[in-house]
Amino acid sequence: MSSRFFILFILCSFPFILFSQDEDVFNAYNIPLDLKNKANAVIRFNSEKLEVSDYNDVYYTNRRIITVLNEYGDSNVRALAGYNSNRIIKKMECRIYDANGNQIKKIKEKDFNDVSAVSGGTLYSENRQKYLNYTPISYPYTVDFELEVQFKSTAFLPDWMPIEGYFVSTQESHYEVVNTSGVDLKIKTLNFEDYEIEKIGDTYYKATHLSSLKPEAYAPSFRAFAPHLRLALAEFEMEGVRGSNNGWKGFGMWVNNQLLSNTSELPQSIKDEIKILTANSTTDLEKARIVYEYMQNKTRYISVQVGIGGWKPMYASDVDRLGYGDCKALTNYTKALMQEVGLESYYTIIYGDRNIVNVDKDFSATEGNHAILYLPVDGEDIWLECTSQTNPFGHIASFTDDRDALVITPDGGQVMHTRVYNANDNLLKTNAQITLDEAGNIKASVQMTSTGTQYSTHEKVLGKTDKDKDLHFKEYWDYINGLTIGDCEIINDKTKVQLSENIHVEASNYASKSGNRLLFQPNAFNRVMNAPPRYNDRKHPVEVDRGFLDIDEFEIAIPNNFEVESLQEDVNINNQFGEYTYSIKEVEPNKLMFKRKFLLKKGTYNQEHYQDFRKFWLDIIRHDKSKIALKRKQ
Amino acid sequence: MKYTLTILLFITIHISFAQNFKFGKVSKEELSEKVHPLDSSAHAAVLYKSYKVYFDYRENEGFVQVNEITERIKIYDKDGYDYATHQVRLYDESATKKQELKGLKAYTYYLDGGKVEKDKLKNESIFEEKVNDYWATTKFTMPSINDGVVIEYEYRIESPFYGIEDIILQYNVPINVLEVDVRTPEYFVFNKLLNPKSTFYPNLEENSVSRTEIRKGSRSDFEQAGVNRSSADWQFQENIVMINANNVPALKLEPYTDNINNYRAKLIMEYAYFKGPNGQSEIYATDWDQVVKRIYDSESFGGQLQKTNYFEDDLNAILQGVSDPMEKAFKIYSFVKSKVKQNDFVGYSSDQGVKQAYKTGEGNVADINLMLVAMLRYAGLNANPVLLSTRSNGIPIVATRKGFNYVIAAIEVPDGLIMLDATDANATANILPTHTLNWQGRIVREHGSSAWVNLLPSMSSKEITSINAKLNTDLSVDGKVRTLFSNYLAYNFRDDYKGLDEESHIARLEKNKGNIEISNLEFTNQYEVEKPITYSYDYHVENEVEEIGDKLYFSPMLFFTPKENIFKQENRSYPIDFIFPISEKYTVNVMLPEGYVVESLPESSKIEFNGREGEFSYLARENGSMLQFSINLDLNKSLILTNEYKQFKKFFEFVIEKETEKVVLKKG
Repeated sequence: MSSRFFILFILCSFPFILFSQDEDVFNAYNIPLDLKNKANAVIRFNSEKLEVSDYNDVYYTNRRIITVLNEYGDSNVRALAGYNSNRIIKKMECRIYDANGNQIKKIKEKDFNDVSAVSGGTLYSENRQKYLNYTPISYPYTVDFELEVQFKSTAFLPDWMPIEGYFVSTQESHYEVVNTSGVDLKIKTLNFEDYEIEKIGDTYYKATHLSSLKPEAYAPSFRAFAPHLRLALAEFEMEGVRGSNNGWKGFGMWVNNQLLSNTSELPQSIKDEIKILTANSTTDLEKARIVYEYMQNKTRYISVQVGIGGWKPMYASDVDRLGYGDCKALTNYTKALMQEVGLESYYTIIYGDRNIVNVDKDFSATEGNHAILYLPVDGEDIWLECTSQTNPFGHIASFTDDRDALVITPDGGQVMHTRVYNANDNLLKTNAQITLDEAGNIKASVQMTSTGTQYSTHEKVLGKTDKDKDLHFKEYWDYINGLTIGDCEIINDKTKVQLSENIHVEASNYASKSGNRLLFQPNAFNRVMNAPPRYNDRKHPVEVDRGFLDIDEFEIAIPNNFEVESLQEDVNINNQFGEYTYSIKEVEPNKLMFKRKFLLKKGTYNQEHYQDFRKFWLDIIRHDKSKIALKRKQ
Repeated sequence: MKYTLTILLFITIHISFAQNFKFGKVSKEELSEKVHPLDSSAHAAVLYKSYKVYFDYRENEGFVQVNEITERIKIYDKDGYDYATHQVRLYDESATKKQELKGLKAYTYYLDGGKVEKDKLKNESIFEEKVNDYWATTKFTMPSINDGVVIEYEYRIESPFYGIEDIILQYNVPINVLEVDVRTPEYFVFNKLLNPKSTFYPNLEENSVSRTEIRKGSRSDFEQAGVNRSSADWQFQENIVMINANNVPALKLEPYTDNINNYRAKLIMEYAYFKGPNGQSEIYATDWDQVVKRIYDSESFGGQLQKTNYFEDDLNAILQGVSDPMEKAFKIYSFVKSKVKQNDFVGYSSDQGVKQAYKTGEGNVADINLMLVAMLRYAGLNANPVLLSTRSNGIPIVATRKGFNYVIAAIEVPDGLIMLDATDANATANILPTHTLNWQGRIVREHGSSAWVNLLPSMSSKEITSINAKLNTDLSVDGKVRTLFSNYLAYNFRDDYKGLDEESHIARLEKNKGNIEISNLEFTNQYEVEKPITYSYDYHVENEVEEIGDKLYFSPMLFFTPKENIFKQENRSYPIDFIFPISEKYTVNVMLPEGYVVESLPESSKIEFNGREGEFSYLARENGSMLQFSINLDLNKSLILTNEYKQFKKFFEFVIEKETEKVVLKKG
């Protein structure tokens, strides 16, 4: 009896601190002015407490009071919780207050919407979600959300992000871990030093008065500068499987032994088939390519999230039989096939994202959202994306390139960096032969070849119908009015990972007439149109995460009865961000040659350089749109 | 010779039609086909689709609706793999109110060394999911998918409901052979209609046969049917609707289409009335008058209009001392807008009741707008609800209660209607949320009589921009811009940018305008939604003037000069819908840089599209060192039909060409 009383007492004492400031925290008019600035919502009070009583038993208590200032802030309410059989909602309720802090509504657990948590692109998942669906009557309003969840599966525990996202400020936020389990707990804090965050106890942090952040162009990702606390248990459970995490090596070992081992057995017929297919290959690289293409032809991507936390791949034999799988399944299947032809390859956990997101090499935890295959062959590091039926062998530009990833080997995990595509790798060459007539119309034949990230952009034309191709090229050159697209031929060289596009186009009145002149814009086929925006007060560094190189050469034939009145001087800009050259010459009578080069380097520069960076783009736009005057001969 | 030819022809035709669509009889020819013979761009095709609807009579359950679906699909290439995954949505409210999927059988067929092989769909690839309180889905994805395979599946959906869902007759890929067979017992009477907006329009064959059931048990609806419980034979008529069609073309997506499903071929079976064996009957719908009457008579519609006591005290206070009826209307409208907010639900039926909505401050569309009508009537105005179908719900085709999904309020005044929607803070008199602007609505007068009213706006919405520009010799420009938006353009502006702070507004205005700096942004009537919105700002922009040789060039519209023609397609299959008529006007006053004079000025000109449905005029005037331009574009019609598209594109090309033309200045 007495112990029960004791527990109750402790539980009650905590909210008491909060209720003493009740009026303050529910009344929207008490928000400090600077926290309202550039904010759609303000976290008035947030407390998250994790009680770890065993490696497979964590109790999470969250109280979250948020004031929403306008309709853009509605999505920040986030009164929701995901659940499944190993993540059990124990308490969930919500109260809504008007601007003055008067309670206007109470929502009990059963009144939350209950839906399956299948995200777009996934066919099936066991996870479900409960969320609050509230129609605001007026702004501002305040939501007081209470949530308690029991985690039996402890591989994914709630991190702490005291600033939750852009345009949200935080008045007060607490995060506490009480560990009575005896299991080692690892905590890593990132970017705390730049913010007002106190450490109250060993595993108890408090943040106060954090202003909102605003997104900026060419800035590092939110994760790179926002405060973030990550935690992981040295012993954990993932949907019934016990795991251990003592650094990446040990964690990788666990993945290998518990999740990957015994999943790669293939039927004998397939083993035979793949051996026959590769029998005449002379190099390992050639073998690997055959295996990869075999896998691509045989499978397709279907995401079904069942089993161990969405982390254990389907059996290779199931993939073989069904002909589909998700990233884990297809990667594991490819690995099994490689093994069969004597090639050692490694399952790799990574963040697949257009932005560059690294696996944290200093802090091992269950992270990543994608799987690819690492294949060291003939002295080369090759990374294979296994979820695409069309992707060229070894091409990873724009989605998994240039980042740290966790490679799983039988000796444990190892963080490695994936292929970096340098500016010169991301090349777009545009050549054109343009004929201008005296009415200002042009006819041109354009050849574009692209590699690297530019291949990733340009290859989207493949598989389009003729009608859609027509529209595609019109969008590509959207600045040319009255454009018509003629024949086009597209060659996809998958071995070189190079796309060649040969297109015939015509445009009426491309050159504008003013009196007896034709104004002609030499850069017809590769213009920069838009510059990064202006900021009064740039906050973040400038980051260009991938460089590229454009090289253009256009031959221009002008009508015989016209002559050049004026041509631009050569332009040659060379700065820390890259290089831009522009030249137009009359190479023989009535024949002009236009040459252009634009190199943008990968790099990070501090925020004072933003002005110059923007100016670089503006200069390019200005030169790209410059015109020459052609005059009718007298 | 001639004779042989006929025979040969006959044989060929016979062969090509001799496909066997019996379940499981997939042929080698189907598997070896590389491209669709009629549509080479198709990534997949439905070789055969059969859709059967019938009503089973079951002891203890009565009539049960059964939909039986069979599809045989050819997959040509990887872009067609999506067709290997199929999803069936099932209503699932409770154990007695749910649709059930039964008898699912599916196979993937492929060629292996010239032999037809098949793999069965197994349970591991079938996924059942409860989506929310009302819906469940069953999804399945086929095994062994490769270029060229054929998949085939069949299943049936059993349902206790008598309403028949729309039967889709057209996909985004071609359908080679389509068979629809709908059999309904005489007791359930349906209206039948094909989507008239679709370009594919199959024949409906109708007839009637006699059906005999053996009855042992009883079911209350049919108990007095003149048959006693033990008697065996029970005869009634069954109505049959059939479609047998070949080569249904794919529905191709196009940009700027309002709702592609408005153009999809489908068979609509509207449950019109129940006519019991004993003469008892219940009417669900017959014509629009009846449909509306039924809606009006329901407690959740007409009933809500009668209630007044919940608001009387508040309203009396608000209307105290106000005598002008229009002022009263305005006060009431503003009051409802601020008092009750719309939740996620649309609908013409009150959800929780006006009283409750009034109390909680939250309701669906009907709760809010029926409340508005009741209040307007209470204040003595001639107000009525207008039923309509939103753009996403499509055009109401057949007289059906499903044809409507929304209700607004209208005040009848001598010179027309004042339509009001109180669910949207930015709406005002005759400016409705754009999703409601769909063809016509049905005004429902007291006692339930009704009439069509046009919903499409006829007055044009204006965007008027005046630009003052002082050109400098360093190629920069300084000046002031003033912009006005009226009617729907004002509505859209307020809707898109509500709550945006000044800094973000400036960033938005500066976007893609080159090296510009905007300051002193000022709004008028930002929140007075019944008035046009205007804003003005100062700007400084670098390099807006171009120097070539010793001459200067600039476009009069400066950074408003269009960068592209949005109409790029050569042809259109569906109309383009601007929703409302638009008038766009630019007035530009330019002060020339010191030491320069005009060498050439764009010519003034005027062009029309399709009579006066589109008008463009360009006027340039020189007055010493001042230039003045007046550039007007009027689109007086909001719908551009497919056969007008080519001409419209040309018209627009001319507009862009003119707007991008340059003024040339020389040293004077």
